[in-house]
Order: sequence, then C-alpha cells, then structure tokens
Amino acid sequence: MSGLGALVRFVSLRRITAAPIRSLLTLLGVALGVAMLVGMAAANASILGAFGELVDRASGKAALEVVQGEVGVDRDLVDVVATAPGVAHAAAVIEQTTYLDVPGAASGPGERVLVLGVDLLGDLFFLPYAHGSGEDVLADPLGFANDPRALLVGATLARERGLGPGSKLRLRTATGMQEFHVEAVLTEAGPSQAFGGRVAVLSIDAAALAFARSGRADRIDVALAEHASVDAVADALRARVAGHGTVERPSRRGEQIARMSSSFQVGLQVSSFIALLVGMFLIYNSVSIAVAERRREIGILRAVGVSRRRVLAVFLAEAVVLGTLGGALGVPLGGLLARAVVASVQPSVSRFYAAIAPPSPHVSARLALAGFVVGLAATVAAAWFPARSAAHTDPVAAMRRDIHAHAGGRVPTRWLLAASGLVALVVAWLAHLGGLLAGFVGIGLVNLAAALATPALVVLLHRVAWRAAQRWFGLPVRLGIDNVARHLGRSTLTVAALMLAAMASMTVASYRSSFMVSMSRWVEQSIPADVIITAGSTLADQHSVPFAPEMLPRLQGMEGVAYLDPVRFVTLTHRGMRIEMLALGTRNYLTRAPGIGRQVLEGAPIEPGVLADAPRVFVSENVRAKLGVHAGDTLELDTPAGPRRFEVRNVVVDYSSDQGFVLIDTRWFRDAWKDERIDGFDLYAAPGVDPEALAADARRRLSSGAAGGDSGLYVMTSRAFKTEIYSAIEQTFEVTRASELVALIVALLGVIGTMLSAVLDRVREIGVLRAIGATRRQIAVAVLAEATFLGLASALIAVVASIPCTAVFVSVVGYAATGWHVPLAFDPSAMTRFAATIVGFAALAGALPARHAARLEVPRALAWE
Amino acid sequence: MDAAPPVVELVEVRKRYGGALDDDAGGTPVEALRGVSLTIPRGQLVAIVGPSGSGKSTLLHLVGALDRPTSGTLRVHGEDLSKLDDDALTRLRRDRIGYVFQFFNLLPTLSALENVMLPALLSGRASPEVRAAALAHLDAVGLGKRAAHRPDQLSGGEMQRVAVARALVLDPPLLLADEPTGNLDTRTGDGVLELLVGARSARRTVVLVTHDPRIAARADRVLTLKDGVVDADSGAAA
Ligand SMILES: Nc1ncnc2c1ncn2[C@@H]1O[C@H](COP(=O)(O)OP(=O)(O)OP(=O)(O)O)[C@@H](O)[C@H]1O
Ligand SMILES: [Mg+2]
Repeated sequence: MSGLGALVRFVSLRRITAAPIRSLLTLLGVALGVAMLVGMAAANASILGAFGELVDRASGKAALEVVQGEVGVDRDLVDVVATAPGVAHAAAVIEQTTYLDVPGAASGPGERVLVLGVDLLGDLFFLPYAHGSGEDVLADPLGFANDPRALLVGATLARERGLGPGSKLRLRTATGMQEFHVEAVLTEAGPSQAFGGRVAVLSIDAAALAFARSGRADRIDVALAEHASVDAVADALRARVAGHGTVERPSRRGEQIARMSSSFQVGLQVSSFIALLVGMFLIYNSVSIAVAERRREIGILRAVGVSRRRVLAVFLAEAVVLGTLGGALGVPLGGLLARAVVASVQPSVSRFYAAIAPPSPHVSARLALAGFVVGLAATVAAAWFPARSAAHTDPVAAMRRDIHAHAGGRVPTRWLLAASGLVALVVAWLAHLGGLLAGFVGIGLVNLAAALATPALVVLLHRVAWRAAQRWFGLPVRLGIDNVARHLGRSTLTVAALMLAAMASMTVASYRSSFMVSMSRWVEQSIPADVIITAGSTLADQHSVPFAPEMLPRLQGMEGVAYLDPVRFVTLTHRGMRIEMLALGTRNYLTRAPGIGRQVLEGAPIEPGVLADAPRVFVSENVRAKLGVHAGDTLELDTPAGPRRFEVRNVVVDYSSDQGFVLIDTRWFRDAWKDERIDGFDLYAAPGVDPEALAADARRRLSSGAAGGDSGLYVMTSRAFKTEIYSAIEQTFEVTRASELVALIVALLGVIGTMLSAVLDRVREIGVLRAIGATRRQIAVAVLAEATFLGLASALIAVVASIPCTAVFVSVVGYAATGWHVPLAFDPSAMTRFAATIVGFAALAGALPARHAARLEVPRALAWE
Repeated sequence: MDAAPPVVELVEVRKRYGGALDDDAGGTPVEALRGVSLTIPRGQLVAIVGPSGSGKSTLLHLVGALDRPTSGTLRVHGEDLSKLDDDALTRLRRDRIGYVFQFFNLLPTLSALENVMLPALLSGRASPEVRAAALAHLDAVGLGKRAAHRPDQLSGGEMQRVAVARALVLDPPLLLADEPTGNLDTRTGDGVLELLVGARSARRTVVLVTHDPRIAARADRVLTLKDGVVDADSGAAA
C-alpha cells in the first residue's frame, strides 16, 4: 500500500535522521540483548562440547569400555574381555595429561599434552590415528613397541613445536622430566584430535613405565561383533569383570563428568539466565522508551486521520526492522562474548573436572536463530504496548504540550508491591522445597519480586531524595529529582534494569564470599604440612602426574624433616558417581591438623589412630547427603581386588570435592587398591626449621638429573599452597566477570537512553529556564541529578534485594549442587563497590544528555513543539 | 537629548537562520532581520506588530539576550551583548530582564509561588525576603491565595499572570512579552494586558509583541515590522 509506504517514509525514516543518536542507542540496546542471549548459550555449549569431546577421546570406535576410576583396570583383564561373546575387539589404553618441554624450542616450557599409551602388539583396531596411515607412519611397529622412549606426535603439536621424525622432546613422567624422541608424525583422526590436537602416542608399555602404571590401564576399549547387542555384551562383560572394573558406554563417562561439573555449570546457567533476563530487559527498555517518547507523534498522526491500525502497523514495521538489524548485529557480537567467557572459565574447568581444551565457541545456526527470534519478539512486544496505548489515547490528549498528559499512564505501584509480596512467599516455599530446579526458579522469582517492588521503592526513595534536595541542595538538583516522578514508568524501567544488573553482581560476589569464608577456614584447619610437593598441577587435580614410588627414597633422610608423608588423591567411581579419595598417613595428620576436631559433624571424638588402626574412613557431608551414610555405617567400595567394606567413622566438613570426599589411611588404601603412586609429598618440618629451606632442598633432590628446568614440579611452602588453593577457588568465579561487565554496559546504555528522552521531553522547559536565567551549568546539574538518582535508587534496591537472592543461591542452589551447608557471608566491600560503580556509571551516562541539554540554543528550545 | 542612555539600542542588526553557521536549519538561509536600527529609551511602552514571519519574535529574542545577531551592534542596558559570554548573558537575563512567553511559561513541578521565585532561586537567593516579595507579586496579580497550587491546577489566564509576577519579581528595568495574550480569550487577555501595561513605569521599559490592535493603541510607540525591516515606527515619527 502506497499509503503505508508514505507513512513509513515520513514517520520512521524521519525519526532516524532527526534523532540518529537515539536510534543508534536503541539499536545497540537490542543488539546487546541478543548478544547476551547468544553469547552465554554459545559459551555453555562450548564447555559442554568439551566434555563431550572427552567421550570422543575415550572411544571413537568403542561401543563399551571397562574402567575403574582413576586407579584403573588390570591389563590382564583384556584377555578376559576379548574372549567374551559378542566382543570383536578389545584393547587397553593409558591416558595421561602431562607437561611437554622441547629443548631449544622458541616457546617456553609448561605446555600440557595428552599422552595416549596404546597396545601396538595387541588389537590394532582402536589405533588413534587415521585409518590406513598406520603402516605409512610406522615403519617398524615392533621396534616402536619395544622402545620406551619412542613416541608419535599429532600433526598440530608437531607444527606448533617444530617437531619431526627424530626430534627430541621431554615429558614430565612419574620419575621427573625424561627425554623422548619422535618416531613419526600422525595424521590426526578420532582420539588424536582430542585435546586440541596436542597429543603424543606411546606404546602402552612405555606409557606404563613413564607414568608408573605397573600392569594397569585407564580403560579397556571394546568393539562389538556384528549383530551383537550392546546391552547383552555389557551384561556378559559385567559378569566377567565384576568387582574388578565397571562396564560402561563411553558416553556414560562424558555424562558423568558433565554431571560432576554440574555445580560449575550452575554458575554458567545462572549467568545465562541472568543474561536472558537482562537481555530482554535491555531490549524492552530501549524500545519501549523510544516508542513512548513519540506519543505525541502518534497523537498527531491520529489527529490527521490515520487509523489506529495503520499507526500500529507503522510502529510494528519499525520494530521488526529494528529487531532484525539488532539481531544481525547481536549474533556476531554474542560470538565474541562467548569467546571471552570460555577463555575465562576454561582453566578452572580443566583443573577441577577434566583436562579439557574447549573448542572455540561457535554460534550454531539454531542458536543464532533462537537468539534472533527472542530478540525480535522482545522488540516487537516492547514496541507494541506503548504504541497501542498511544494509539488508543485521545489524540488531543496525546498531543497536549502539558507534560502531565503523557507521563505514560499511572503506575499501579501498590498492586505491584502486593504482587511482589506474593512472589516472595512463593520463593520462601521453593526454598523450603529445596533442589536445583527450585533454587533456579527461586532466583528468577526473587528477580521478579525485586522488579515488581521497584516502582513503590522508587516512589519512596524519590520522596526522601526530594526532601534532601529541597533542604541541602540548590534548585537544579531539586528540578532533576522532580523529573523522576513525572515519568515514573520510564524511571522505574530504568531503575529496574540497573537494579537487576547490580543485584546479579552483588549476589555472585556474596555467593563467592560465602564459599570463600567457609573454605578458607577449612583450608587453614586441615592443611598442617609445612611443605607440599606435587607434579603436573599444584593441587593434585585432574592434571596431576603422579610420582612413581621409586621417588620416595630421594626425599627420605632429609635433614630437618620431622615427617614425610606420601599422599595419594584419586577419583573413584561409586554407583555411577565420582568421589575423591585422599589417602595419607592419618596418625600423623590427625595429630597435627589443628582444627580437625571442629570440623566433625557426626561420630565420636577423633583420636589420632582411628583411621590407621582399622579399615575406617571419614566422609564429607555431601557423601552423607548423596549416599545416605552416617557415622557407624558401612561403606562398600569397588577396588581392583573386588568390593571392600569400610566403617564410616565420622562425617566431617570437607570442601575438597563438590562430588564427595573420603579420607582414608595410606595403609588401607594400598591394601585395597594396590596403587603405590604418589600424587604429592607432605613434609612436616622439625621444630625451628625454615620451610623455605626445606622446600629448596626437596626441589634440588627431586629434579637432580633433570637438565634445563623441571616443568610441572611444584614444591611449595604451606602458605604458597594455600594461596594456590584460594586462587583456584577464585578462578572458578571468573565467569562472573563477563556478566559484571555486561551489567555496566546495561547501566550505561539504559541511563543514556532514559536521560536523552527525558531531555527531549523537556526541551521547551529547558528553554524557559534558560530564558529566565538558568545557566548552562544549572541545566546540566539538573540532568545529572536525575541520572544520579536513578543510579542511587538502583544501587540501594539492589543491595536489599541481593540479600534474599544470595540466601537462595547459597542455601538452595549451592547446597543442591555441592551438598555443602555453607553459612551466608555477605561481601560488603564488593557490594559497596558495585553500588558505587552503578551510581558512578549512571552519573557518567547522564553526562552526554546533560551536555546536550546545556547546549540547547535558547530560541530554538523555546520554539520547540 | 535625553541624558539617560537608552535601554535598548540596535544598529544595522541582521539575523540570518540557516546557512553554514546553522546546519540544523539546513536548506536555504532565511534572513529574519535585515538591518534593523532603533533605540528604545527608558520607561517607554513599545508594541511590536507585523505580519506572521516578519521577524517580531526574532527581534524580541535578540533584545532579550536569548540570541545573538548575525551582524550589527546590539546594546541592552548599555552593554554590548557581543562582548558578553554565555554566563554574563544569562545573568543579564536573570537579573535585569523579565520575560513572558505566549504559553508554557511555568515549570509544572513547582508551585505558583516557587515559579514566581524561580529567578531568585536560580541565583541562589532563597531568603524569606524573596519569598515575601514573591508572595506580594502573586498578590499583585490577584493570585495570593493560589500560591501553593501547581500550574496544572491553574487556568491559562492564571498561568500567564503567574508568569507576569515571575517576570517582575526581581524588579527588572526591562520587561519583554511575546504575544502574552495570544493563547487567551479576549477578557482574560485584557486582564493580563493590564498587568503588563501597569508594569511600565519611569524606571521600567516594556516591549510587547502583539497582533492585537487594541494593545497597540495603548502603547507609547508602535513598531511595525515587515520582511525583517522596520516598516513603520510611530515613536520615530513622534
Ligand atoms: N530557528 C529558526 N530557524 C530557521 N528559520 C527561523 C528560525 N526562527 C525563525 N525563523 C524564520 O525567521 C522568520 C522570522 O520568524 P519570527 O519567528 O521572528 O517571526 P514572527 O514575526 O515572530 O512570526 P509570528 O507572528 O508567526 O510569531 C520566519 O521566516 C521564520 O520562519
Ligand atoms: Mg513570533
């Protein structure tokens, strides 16, 4: 219709040329909203994809696998497995991440590689390199299998480090840095693509030697005969390996890891969820304000005889264009955001859950479409309501110059407040119910309740601010504060958006501090050793490269050592769950751990010999929650020697693992698990001995023979070790930084938009003020005062609302994810900082509109319609 | 020759809108004033008349120190406005010029009394004396009882009377009004007009832009603008 075309030309295009900055800001608001949605989702997908990649690494062609936690399965079991009915292929594999050091290479030491140990003399079906290239790659498989220092490297690694056949490189092994030589370069395929292509392949015997696996493998891969049923074969295998290993589909392992990292994903999901909320809010805020400020224009169109439907059609068409452009801009922006998020969370995922190298995040077509559609829908909805309300208003009223006539209708503050109270009741009920889902919904509803209460609180704060302005500040401040109430709807929307952004940051900060306070108390009380030695990673986590038992004599007989304790920290699989088990010399430990008595939740008082004298264990409260075991109960655990029973002596506070933690004496651990490897040494200094000197001595003894540095060996005093733990915990909260940044951007955009339209609304009024003697400064102060009030109100409401939000987050979501009862500990300094930042940014955002207002030419402002 | 210097003095004043210096207006430049020279002595009641678009408002804006001429010399209260910066112009407007516009004179969030006090409040002088003076001026325009009311509780005529009270509150020697009765019916307009006419004294000059011939009849001097130039000036003839 040419009529509509003309309308669009005169209404919409004019608008863009007349108010380019406003139009741009609105577009930016939509784009950022979409970017938030898409970015967080893509980041989540990438991290999850990395977990999935673990599965590919595991299998490729394997339909089933036989595993046994971190201690591994007996390699002899391969024969038992291979002869089972329905099994076509079976092969043992060793898998270990470790440090690589290329002598003379440009890039520094310390890069991690994934080492795969494969059985070249056994079933070659699972070889981790491109099919058919096996023969070309290895001229002499038998020679390779018998050479404990020969390895194959992935093409990516070879390219990055300039490696070729014959190149030398050093790997951290169970006995320190050892030199290897490259036999050939692999064309990556299947498992060798894992870990970003940074893969080295050894023969299984060489790997067993290098990593002290004596007779064990990490798993046995199983491929099925044609027509064999997975379930039938699995059952047959289970019967054969019962007590010595667990039969799983490879995907199970990935699932387990994904489930295990659920508490971590909680962080990501909360961020995504807030991103969704804030994103939609941002869009709604910018678009609805942009439409509302054109109420008069709508009135004029109606007055000159344009039909209601026509007016609405024009504004909806505009919204569709805006949503489309915003989406087109927001999707790639989301890709960038996702990259930043993944880069910030990858280290901690890798550290605590599994050694992953997440693929660079990628915005799938489906995700792009989803972000696009949500953005478009939010844009259209945001335009629809104010446009409809304007179109239904009497044209004369819409056109009236009197500002009161188009204040955007009354805001039913009381009703909203009552609704907010109801929502709060629902939150209380959900918190009582407990569980991850209830927690998430609860957090969402706290946000909703806070948003609903915002209008009433803004009115209240406005009254207070007005009094203060009247009393202590000049007229300009008072005029600025006056304006807040004139456009309560608009002010409230802005405050709500700012408040939600600030509240999210404050809540996460208090969540972090709650965990930090509890964890640091625990760390201080439960690490009595003076020097701690680990390899591969500082915290004996997923990157640990355990020492061989032969390394123990190197440290024995050191002067100044009162006690030397070899410690093992392993992941066990138990009823499909992963539990971390710490094995150490408990008699010494329980004598020296200062606060261990204070951490007992259940069971008789602790004496030093309780765990050493009999097969007993301590379990953490999350094990109690998950398995329902209590002090005095028996815990039955799978071991390579079959199932073993342990008495649960005590339930204790322990934050070693959010999956569950068991403390056992080294004696019983070795007896049952036949695993002599050492994840770390705890050194207790004799009285008066300087831990630093002890550390230096230990370092020298362990790396003797390692020429040119010893990558991945960590010898730390207990202070340094604890600092390391704290920074590791801090690192898990890195993901929140991105959301804080976004919150600030939201603050900036929201206030700029609101204040620009506030200024546009009052051009004529500003003209009058200037004409009768207001200086430019006074006009600017009025605008800044209004912006600052919006920031202040947001910050205050956010502080209050973050309290219940933190409570739900810590006590419901946190508990559901970790099984830890962590007392609330707010972070007043972070809350103050966020509050100050929001106020500062709001004031800063007011600067642009203030400048615009101050520079208005008086005659033109007076002529403004 | 009169000993006192003239309140307003224009020499060959031109005002052009649009063109290179004024990109917002765009398109072809408009010459709103094309060489206006005139002198207004103290205590005169001057009516500016002329067809729409002849430059009346433009002239009043210049005299009211709201805008600067494109060329020519403009003196108000003896000060060459081209030599004053924006703050000095603002002070001049606040302290020595009263202004009444056709509509929307008042700030909607302030009470009638606060609106009257506005020039004083803006100069940071919110003393009880100022308050008393403002109340007296409200009384003088017959609205003493409406001091606490907001503009949206006042009629159009009442609003204009508050505007007059405000324009006079700091007792400026120059009062300007641009079609102050243009939005009012005749009777209401007459009341407002009386106030403005009555504001003229030996010390105070009053300049009104109007379409109303009856007002012109009561003025000391009628200045007729046409196409940006003074077409007729009864004062010059007198
Ligand atoms: N800001 C501006 N930009 C461009 N042109 C302007 C501007 N202000 C006034 N003009 C033009 O200058 C000329 C004089 O305008 P002015 O407002 O002084 O007329 P007026 O005599 O007051 O008319 P009216 O009786 O309608 O109020 C007109 O042609 C007008 O279009
Ligand atoms: Mg005019």
